[in-house]
Amino acid sequence: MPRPAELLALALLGIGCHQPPAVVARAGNIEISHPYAFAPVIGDEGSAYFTMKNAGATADTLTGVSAGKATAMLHGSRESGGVVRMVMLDILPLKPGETVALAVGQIHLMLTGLDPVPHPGDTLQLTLTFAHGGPATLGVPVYRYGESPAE
Amino acid sequence: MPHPLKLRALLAVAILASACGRAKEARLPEGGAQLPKPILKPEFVLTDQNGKSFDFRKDTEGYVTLLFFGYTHCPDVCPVHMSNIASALQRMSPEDARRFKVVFVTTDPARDDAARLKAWLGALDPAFIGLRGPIDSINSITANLGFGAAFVEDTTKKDYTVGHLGIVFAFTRDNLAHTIYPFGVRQEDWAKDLPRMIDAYAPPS
Repeated sequence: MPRPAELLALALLGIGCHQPPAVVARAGNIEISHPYAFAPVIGDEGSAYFTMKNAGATADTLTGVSAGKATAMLHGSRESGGVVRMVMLDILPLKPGETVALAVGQIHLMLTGLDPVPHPGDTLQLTLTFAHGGPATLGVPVYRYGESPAE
Repeated sequence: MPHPLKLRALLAVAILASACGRAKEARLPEGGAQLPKPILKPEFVLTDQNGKSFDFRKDTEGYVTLLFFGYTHCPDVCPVHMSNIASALQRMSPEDARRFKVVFVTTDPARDDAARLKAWLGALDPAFIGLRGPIDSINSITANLGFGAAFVEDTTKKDYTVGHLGIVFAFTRDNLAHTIYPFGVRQEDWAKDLPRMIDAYAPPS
């Protein structure tokens, strides 16, 4: 059982007082960090998140994401009257120096048709493809919904 | 009709509430947003995951009631909210957890039939209540709460998505929601706030 001070430290970590990112993959100038995914509650649908930083001096664009046999769809979100709608993103541009962090309720990767169905504790393979940086493959740790270190 | 809520202000409060350096003396809404004017627990009747009629106001009377509008094919906000609440309840004593009713109203009745609702909620917490009914009925409930209608995208597309409220309404035992919880609320916040809801705003016994 963590003590209150530890809980507070965890809370502070979790609310945007960032540590330097641990880069797990690179594609050209793009550094990818903080990957995590959620296992389906039931069925074969889950979601995945990661952070991308363009560490270079030229723009790049995420043009595709693949997750084995699953269909991977990048969604943004739009809020109106409290209603949050998902908006399909075909590409995601990254300006020089820009960091884009996927997060719950914001930009996320919707995964459908996951085969095999991942369980918490598993690692999911994702391949991100950038217009200039090319492909990057990363292992994404799978958690129960809401249980990732980012929560 | 309740007056329309000043949503942008609310969301701003919600975002502030989850930013660095939160107030130490925060009472109820550790991760939620205190409403300037509480929302009265709505009255509606829908069908639960066992095919039984559920009178929301009557069947939740005396319980702390968490109300959420979403759908089971939702990739992130819905399962994260519901899973966080399930985990926070699991961390409480069974007696305390029994003081809660968690109600999930589907905004995708076409795909979320009773069996699907039962399987999905059952995997999260079998005590959760799943309700369904015609989408127009669901939309009039959210309109009466002061929010917009669900937005069902092109249903002919495989894996279509549904726009829905990202908010959990927390009705205390006085039948009022003093606090709402937007997406981004973390499990730790639920774990702090849920036990406080049992006695907060409780009517004198």
